[in-house]
Amino acid sequence: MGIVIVIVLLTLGFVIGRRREQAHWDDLDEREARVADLIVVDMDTPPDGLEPVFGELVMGSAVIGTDYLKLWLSKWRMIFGGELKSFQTVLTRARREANLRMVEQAFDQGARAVINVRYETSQISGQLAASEILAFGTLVR
Amino acid sequence: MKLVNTEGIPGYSIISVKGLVSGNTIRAKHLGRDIGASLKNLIGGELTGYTELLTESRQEAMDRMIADATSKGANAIVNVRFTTSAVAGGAAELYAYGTAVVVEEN
Repeated sequence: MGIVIVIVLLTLGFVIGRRREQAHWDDLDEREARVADLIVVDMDTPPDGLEPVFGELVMGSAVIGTDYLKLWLSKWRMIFGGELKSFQTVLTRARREANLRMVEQAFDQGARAVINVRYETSQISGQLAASEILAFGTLVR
Repeated sequence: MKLVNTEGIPGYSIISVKGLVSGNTIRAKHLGRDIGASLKNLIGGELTGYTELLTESRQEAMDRMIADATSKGANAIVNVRFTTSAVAGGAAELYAYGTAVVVEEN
């Protein structure tokens, strides 16, 4: 009985998890294209050399969880060691999402650039395979 | 209250520094959200409940930092930073800090 449940959950992760992940990648590409012209740097002055006249804090965050299949595969990986590729994509998605939320907020407020961008990662809970990524910076006009 | 994470505020100059200000909050997640999140963890994707919870809590920490700055007579906070840490399984501390300053428009 136990094995049946595991197989069902793995299939669920494979079918739905993959589709949801692909949908998220597509969504990220589309939204990033809209704000692509905005300058985003981690320096404390805008690179175009123009003196900013306005500054305000902007931030974005996201918690993205992995699916059952990836979690299951990572447990095998942890026996032998090596790179956890399945988790890498989860964190990349979370970071891009957090970054994008920050940039969109700045973009909608008519920013010329977002400067001094910082990222922070924190673990949510021991039980869940999920991390929170926070992106913050200063929008300038 | 103006907030930036750079050392100065564009268009303003700092006329006095009031010192370090901070605010924190420790939040426990509630069981309902946890059950929802563990179900979501089977199929992957954003754990919206947690994103909201952390955003709200971080806002709370920021509000406390702002109240601290206000009580010191500042009108802006520069160099704002955030940290998050897990405290005893299931609870997280969100901490916001920065330097309270008095600024004047150029």
